[in-house]
Amino acid sequence: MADLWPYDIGNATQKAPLSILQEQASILGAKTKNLVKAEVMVGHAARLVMADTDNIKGELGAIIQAAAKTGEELASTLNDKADEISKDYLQLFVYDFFIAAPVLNNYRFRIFTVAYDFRLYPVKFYLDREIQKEIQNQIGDVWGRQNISAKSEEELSSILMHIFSSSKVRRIINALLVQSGGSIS
Amino acid sequence: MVTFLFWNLKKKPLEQFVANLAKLHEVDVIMLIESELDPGVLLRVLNDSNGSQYHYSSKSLCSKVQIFTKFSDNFIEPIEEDDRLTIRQLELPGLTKILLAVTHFPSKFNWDSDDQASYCPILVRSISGAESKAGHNRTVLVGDLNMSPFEKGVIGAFGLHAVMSRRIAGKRKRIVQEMESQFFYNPMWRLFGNATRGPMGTYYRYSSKPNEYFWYIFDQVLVRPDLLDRFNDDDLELLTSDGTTSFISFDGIPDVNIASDHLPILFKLML
Repeated sequence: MADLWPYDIGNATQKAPLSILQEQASILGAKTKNLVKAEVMVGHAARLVMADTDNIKGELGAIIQAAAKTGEELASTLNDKADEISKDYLQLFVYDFFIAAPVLNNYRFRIFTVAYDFRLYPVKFYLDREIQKEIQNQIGDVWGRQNISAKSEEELSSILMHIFSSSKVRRIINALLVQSGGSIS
Repeated sequence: MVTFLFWNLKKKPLEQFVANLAKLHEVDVIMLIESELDPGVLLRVLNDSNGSQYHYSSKSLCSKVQIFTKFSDNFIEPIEEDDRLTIRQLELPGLTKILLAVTHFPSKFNWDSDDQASYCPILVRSISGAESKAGHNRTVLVGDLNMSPFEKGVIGAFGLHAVMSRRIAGKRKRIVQEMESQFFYNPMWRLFGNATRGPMGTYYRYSSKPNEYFWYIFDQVLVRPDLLDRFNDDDLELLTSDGTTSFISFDGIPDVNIASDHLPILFKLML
């Protein structure tokens, strides 16, 4: 039987944002002998979205009817529409990023939440305001955007680096380390 | 009986009023937001005005909320926080353990109602996480939600799911779109309107918009069903004076020349 699939199917090279977050979370624990750790927790998509599902169905139904000519046209139209309504309606993956201190009664401090849809990027950040202000001064002008979001794996890594280097995150980690009786290696 | 006081100070130096309220109502837990008071200064005023020694809860990393207690801060340790929320395990000797969540939600100055509603799930998730960690659901949420009790962020199943009826809240949870959502009881509903014994809200605004409520209840206390038998609606009050000085003008609205544009809330729990 002929193999009709594209030769490069299944060769995904893009890293999911969650993988990047989890990798970075594991590194902090190693640096502090697990006195202070980072945790990535799953948030429920529908809760963040607060979607008005009837309106979504209506919008998508209209798109499908209007672009019923070919699958390609439909996919393209849906993709364009996804950008327009995605900010509130199609964020399927939601994760909270915490700094935690296991020995302090498992205390944890949420420093940001991320949300993205099936396309993986853009990744939208819901950031601690102090951190957002600090890093927006550093990166906001470069990308000319008011809200922090990552359009690619490279941008995601860069934003995370800025977040982790922010004075507030350093303050939180140091405070928790001191209370936990440790120091950073 | 444990007595709680919550107040949005609007960055004003109201330490003497706070101390007077603490003395007048024998407050055990004082929760302040939009406070620029130096904790040391407020502690001195509190302890000069009161026979008891108040303590400042300094272990918190949430800079938006200040908590002062009539007992050691070892009994009110933070377990989960972010820059707008602190969740404390309140564990007094011989008394029922509860979670006390205090928050200052984003305001409508920068965010609209939909933005606020879409942020609620983050708050709900934090509370649920803390409840899992604590092993119980005896939670009271207090704060300036910057939303009215009827807004979707407060009532919505994907938001705080805070309802006006004890009986409905007593059902504990509801399943909406295959998702389980726990209730809060919202006692603030009974404080609306002219038929109440006190002011008609915690915040007053006059504008020329066609649709204007004038009185708002942004500052709220929400109680989980597991605490309903320990909470009496009659113990919830909106305060208009410290016993000496009125916080409201002659026409009954918060007087910003005297105090804050928000009125303080007092409530009690039998723990």
